[in-house]
Amino acid sequence: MELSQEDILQIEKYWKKELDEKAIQSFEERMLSDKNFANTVDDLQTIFSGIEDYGEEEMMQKLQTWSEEERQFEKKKETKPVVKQFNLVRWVSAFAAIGLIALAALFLLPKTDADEALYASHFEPYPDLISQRGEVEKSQILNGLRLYNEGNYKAAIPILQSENNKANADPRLSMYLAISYSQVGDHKNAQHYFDKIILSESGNLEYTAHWHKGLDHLKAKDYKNAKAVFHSITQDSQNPFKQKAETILSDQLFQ
Amino acid sequence: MGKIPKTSHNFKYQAIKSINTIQKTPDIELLKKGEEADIKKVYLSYRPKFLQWIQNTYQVDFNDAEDIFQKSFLLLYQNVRMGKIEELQSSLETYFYGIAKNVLRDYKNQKYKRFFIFSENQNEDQSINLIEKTESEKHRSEIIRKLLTQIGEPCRSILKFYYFDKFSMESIANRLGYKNQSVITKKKYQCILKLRSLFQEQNINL
Repeated sequence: MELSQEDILQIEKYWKKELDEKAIQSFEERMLSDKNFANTVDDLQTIFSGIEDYGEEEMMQKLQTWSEEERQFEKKKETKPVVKQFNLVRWVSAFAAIGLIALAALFLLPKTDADEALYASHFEPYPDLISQRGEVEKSQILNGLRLYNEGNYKAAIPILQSENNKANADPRLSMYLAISYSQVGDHKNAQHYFDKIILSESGNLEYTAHWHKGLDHLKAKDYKNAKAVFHSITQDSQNPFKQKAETILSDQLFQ
Repeated sequence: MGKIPKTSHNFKYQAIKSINTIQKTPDIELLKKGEEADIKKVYLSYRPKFLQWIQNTYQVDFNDAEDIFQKSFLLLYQNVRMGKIEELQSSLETYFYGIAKNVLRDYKNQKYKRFFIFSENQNEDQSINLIEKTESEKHRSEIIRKLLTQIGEPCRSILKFYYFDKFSMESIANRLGYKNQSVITKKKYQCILKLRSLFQEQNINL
C-alpha cells in the first residue's frame, strides 16, 4: 500500500488515541475492510513503539553515564589531598594575568578569523565527477563545471541553475549549485539546494550534502546550526564524514 | 495485568492529573525544554538526596537505589515531555518521589520490567501497573531498534526526537541545524517509509 503523509498522520493519531469516537470507528471499519491497510497500521504501530523503546534505552544509557560520572567525581573528592593554605596575593595575580591574556586574545584573535581558518581547513569543493568521467557531452553542463572547477562560482551559477532546472537533471548538479551559492555568500540558496539533496537522495550524495550544509552554516557564521549539523553527523556511525565532523567540533569555536 | 493493546500508547505513562492549583516549577520548565544539559542538571540535583532517602527508608542497597532512581527519572521525563504534568498540587520533586515509590514497589515485588502504566484517574500515591509485551511484540520492537542504528542520520535523530522526546517539528529543525521546518516534516515522512521498507525486508527474511 502506498503510504501518504496523511495516512501516517492518521495512524499516528490512532496510535496516540487522539482520534474521536467517530473517527476511531471509521478508522477501524477501514481496517476491517482493507487487509493491506490493517497490515500497514500494524507495521507502523510497531515502528512507533520501537522508536519509543529505542529512545528509552538511549536515555537510560545516558542516565547511567551521568550517575557514573558523578560517582567518579565523588570518589575523587574523597581521595583529594588536603588543600594547601590559600595564598590570596598569588591567586589575585594569577587571575589578573589570565584576565589580561584573555582580553588580549579577545581583541587580537577575533572569532571571525578563527571560523574562516576552520572553514578553509575543512572545505574542499565536491569533485567534478561529471567532466572527469566524461559522462556528458552537453557543452553547457561542461561549461558550467569548468567555471566551477576554476572557482568562478558567480559565473557558474546561472549555467548550473539552468541545467539543474531541466527535467531529469543529474542530482549532482544541485550539489555543485549549492556549493557555488555557498561560495558567493548566498547561504539561503545554498541551504535550499543542500536540503533538496538531503530530501531526494541517499547514500554518499546525501552524506556529502549534509557535511557541506554544516560548512555553509559555518561560513555564514551561524555557529549554532553548524554545530547542530556536525553533531548530527557524529551520531551516524556509517557517515563517512563522521571523523571530520568530530574533528571540527573539537575546535575551540564550538566549545 | 493485561497485555498492552497497541493503541493504548497514551496509557503507557499516564500521569497523575490533579485538579486544583497550578504550580509550575523551574524544574518542569527545564525538562520541557528538553536540552540535555538541563535534564542532566535536574537529574544530578535530585540524585544525592534521593539515594540517601531510599537507602535509609527502605533498606535498599546502593545499586538498586541507583537503578530505581534512573527508572523513576525516565518516567518523570516522559510524563513531562508528553505534557501530562501541567497541573501539580505538589512540587515536581514530590511528584518524582511518588513515581519512585511505585517503581520501588514493583521492584520489590520482583515484577519489575521495562514497561509501566499509570492507570487513569489515579492520584500521586497510587500505583503504576506493569505492562507486559508479548514475545512477538518484543521481538518486533527489537528489530526496529536495530534498524534505527542502521538507518543513519538525520533519520535516526528526527524519529527519536519526534516519537520519544515529543519535540515539535520546529524544535527538531532547530536542533538539527535546519532553518526550514518543512524540510524536517518531509524528511520525517521519508524516514518512516525507509524504516518501514527495511522492516518489511526483515520480516520477509525471518
